[in-house]
Amino acid sequence: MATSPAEPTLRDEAATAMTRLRTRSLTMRFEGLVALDAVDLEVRPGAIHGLIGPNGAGKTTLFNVVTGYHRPTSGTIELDGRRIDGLLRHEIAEAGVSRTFQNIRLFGAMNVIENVLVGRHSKIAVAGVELAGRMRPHSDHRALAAVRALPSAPRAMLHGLLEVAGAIAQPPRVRQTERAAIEHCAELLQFVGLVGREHELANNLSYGDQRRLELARALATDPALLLLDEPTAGMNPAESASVVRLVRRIRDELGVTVLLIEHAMSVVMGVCERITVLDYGRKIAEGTPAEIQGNAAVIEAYLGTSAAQGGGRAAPRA
Amino acid sequence: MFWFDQLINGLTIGSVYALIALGYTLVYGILQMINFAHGEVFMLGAFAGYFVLLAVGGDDLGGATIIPAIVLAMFVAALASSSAAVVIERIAYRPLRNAPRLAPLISAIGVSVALQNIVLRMTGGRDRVYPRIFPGGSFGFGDFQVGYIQAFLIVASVLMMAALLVFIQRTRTGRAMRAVAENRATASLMGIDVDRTIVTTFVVGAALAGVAGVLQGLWIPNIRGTMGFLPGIKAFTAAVVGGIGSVPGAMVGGFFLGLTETVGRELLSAIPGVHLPNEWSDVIAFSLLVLVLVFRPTGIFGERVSRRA
Repeated sequence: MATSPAEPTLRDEAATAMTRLRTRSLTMRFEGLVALDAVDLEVRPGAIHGLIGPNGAGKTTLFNVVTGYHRPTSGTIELDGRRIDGLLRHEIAEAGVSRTFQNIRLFGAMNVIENVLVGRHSKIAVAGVELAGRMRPHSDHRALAAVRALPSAPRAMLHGLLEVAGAIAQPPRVRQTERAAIEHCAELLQFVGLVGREHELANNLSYGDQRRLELARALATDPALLLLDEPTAGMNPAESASVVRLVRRIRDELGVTVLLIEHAMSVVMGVCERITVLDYGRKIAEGTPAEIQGNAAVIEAYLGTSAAQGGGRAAPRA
Repeated sequence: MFWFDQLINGLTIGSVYALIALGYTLVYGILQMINFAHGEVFMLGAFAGYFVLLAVGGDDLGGATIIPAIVLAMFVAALASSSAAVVIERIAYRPLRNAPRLAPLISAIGVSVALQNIVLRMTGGRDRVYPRIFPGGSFGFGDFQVGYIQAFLIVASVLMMAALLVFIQRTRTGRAMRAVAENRATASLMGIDVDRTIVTTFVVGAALAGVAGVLQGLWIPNIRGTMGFLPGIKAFTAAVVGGIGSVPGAMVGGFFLGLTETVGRELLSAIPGVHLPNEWSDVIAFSLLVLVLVFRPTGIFGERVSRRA
């Protein structure tokens, strides 16, 4: 496989002994509703970890909290041992968390390669002192120290001006990282199976291809942890099987740890090594697929809701 | 030739409108907000350029030295306008980012009035006059004459617009601006610093307006604290005509409005019994705004009139 982004593997070596994602007593309340209730979750490096539960169990909320879309009411989140709760969304993305969405959220007015390049944003250089300072946070060059000491408004202005100036002047470093990004993104498109579609509008892709594009975009951020929110939703069995293969390759070939929400039990049981079950915001079970299938609390949670909904959804098969 | 002159006048004023209109449309695209202080950002650019030209010699400038002088004036004006826009965004808009949409609009009008009056006060209410350094002649064939200054305005604006298009389409920063405009939350989850991208958008729009201020000053030398008001509203009209939120729309809308005010007005005047002297330009421009808002609120290039609502 030509695509082998270097960073995730490096991260793996540094963090093998650690837990990739760990939440402790993670709680999220929305005006009276407890969406997450003291959830302790551990995702091991290199795992494909499933997150299941009836509708409204808090699965997507957990994704939203981990990615910084919501601030948790209480509790902590660690990525490779480093606290990430409280960081801004783009900082969490840069720290190594990426995701796809249940309802696809591509940039529809952009073409395919541009969508992936957006994911690559923070890997492309901008000109200027401030950026150099960001890339080498411990450099003690006097100019960098001066910039860092500026109050935020002038610093933002300086950065805005440098960003514009750099984009216009296109110094070699900017051009070189942009070219590298385009190459990398083309490889990712090949990896997800979207070769030769670079210049089509994202909105014009078929549903399945849009899901693949979202995967490529999420991978472009070089994630250590990839959160997939129902990656096979709305797909026929053949499409669904090919996405499952893709998820395995993301872990095996790119070394990315995967946490996925999925309603299709065949998918969850087939691809995940460990499964966590949420119900009403609480973790009610955790274990291997076999353990989960035999778990009384899980069966009850599923049968209870599926009975209430007229039996529309399958319970985990024993 | 009369009609040719009108055409050139329309393109000249249109290029100023287009440059300012881009600032409206960029900010609207990313924040769905009309930055009514943008006319004052243009005015501040005109003043910054004026002071630079005075400092480097004023009326004594001549020959080839006017080229670096004008480039420096444009550069400093872009810097001054951008700085002003960043400060305005920080103190008047960002705290209202999640407030009802009317709040930042009112805040913008407040900033606009405040800036007009601060500059009026600092200048003692008197006009300042740009040094007349640009050669006054014209070139062309026979009756088809174009003033040097007008040619300069048109060419400079078109070059800047071309650069802007490349910037938006081809650079990481431009991509980030488009991503944030389309979906702020998703962009941030993909690693884009949304606040910084918004600041950059203000910087870009303001830089164009600042340069437009200098261009207009070189052409119509009198500048004052309130000079930004009318071009600001006209450029807003141009942005709406072109389709607010659309970058090509603001460019086309600017030239379209400039031509409507000049060629369009004269065409109407050619109808027997109709006489519309120059003062009718504003009536025509704003009638156009009303007509567009009534019959095609999305403008020439706009498709999405409200992404959020």
